Amino acid sequence: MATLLELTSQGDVATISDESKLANIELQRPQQLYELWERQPWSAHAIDLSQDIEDWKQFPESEKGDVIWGLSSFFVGEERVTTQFSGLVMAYDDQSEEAFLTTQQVDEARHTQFFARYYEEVFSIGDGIEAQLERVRADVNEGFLSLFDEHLVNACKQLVDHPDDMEAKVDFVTTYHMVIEGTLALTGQFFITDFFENRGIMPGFVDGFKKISQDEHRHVAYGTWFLKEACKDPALASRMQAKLAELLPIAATVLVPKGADPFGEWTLLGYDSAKVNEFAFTALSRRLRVIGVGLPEVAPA
Amino acid sequence: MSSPGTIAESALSQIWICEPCGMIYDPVDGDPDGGIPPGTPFESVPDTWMCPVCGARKRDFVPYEN
Repeated sequence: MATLLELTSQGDVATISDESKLANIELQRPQQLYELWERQPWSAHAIDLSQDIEDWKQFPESEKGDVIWGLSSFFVGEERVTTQFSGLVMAYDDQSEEAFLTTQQVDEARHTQFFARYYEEVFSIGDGIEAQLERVRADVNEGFLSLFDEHLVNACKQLVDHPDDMEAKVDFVTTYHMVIEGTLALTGQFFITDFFENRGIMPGFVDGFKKISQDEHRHVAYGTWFLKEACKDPALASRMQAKLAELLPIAATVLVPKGADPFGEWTLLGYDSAKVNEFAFTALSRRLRVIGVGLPEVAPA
Repeated sequence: MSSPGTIAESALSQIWICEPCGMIYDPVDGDPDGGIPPGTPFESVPDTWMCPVCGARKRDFVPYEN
């Protein structure tokens, strides 16, 4: 059984070839991504949740805890990334980048609104967003708190204090777009959506979560573009690898359900840890090839 | 009536674009790193395949008319 950390320490996936064209992919620039945002609007408060309310009443009690845990990580995470994004907005390089970055912060706020509404209307966990967040924070694990409350917060603070510091910007985008969104969020989104779709339940959540995923893909596309440009500088490429080496051991534990052994096998919603970790690793490693940076050296657990 | 050869040529000439990020899938190139050999029409790409740039799934791609 391989954890995310073990997969990273082993190196590139066997399928990646020397003839890879990933590094030659033409990426969309911030102006194009901003225009794409305008073409993909949606409202967190317009999604029909009536069937979800009924489905949740029928949901097996033995599985409700796993669902709540998974969604709580997203709920808290969306609030964190909304709050801790201002530094990057201020670190824009031109007007097009500024325009796109402001849309990303709006997106994250919209995602937070969706989860707040869902928790109140479907899970009957209400009393306002602050009270909801305080309650669901009890569900997230230590790795999550370390990544979102320490590393992300520190990365944001560095950018707020030094908006022209390219190293701080690389640190932030690596933390936010590559690790949090591009590895953890995409993995969670894939399996949670798959779970509900396979059962044909919670259509409102599936609809909203797919729209959230569409936003996240656009965000990750920006992060990939920025890092590909920045990492043409070998020093910044090394900086990115160092940040990944620092964060991946922590990120590897974020995917682990609360109470489970981070170095053992576990199952969540019917998906085994090997499958989840492999998905996360593939998502990250292929994107690094697009950026033109190799996997970092990380010590196996 | 289209011949099988024409249909195959059409499948290989149709490129697809990832709606969330704009990444292009060209059947001529395939995606060897993702286990998709050159010459693979998009319709034959497994549903589990995802965009290497942004992680979007196969169903998030649409035909690209340049």
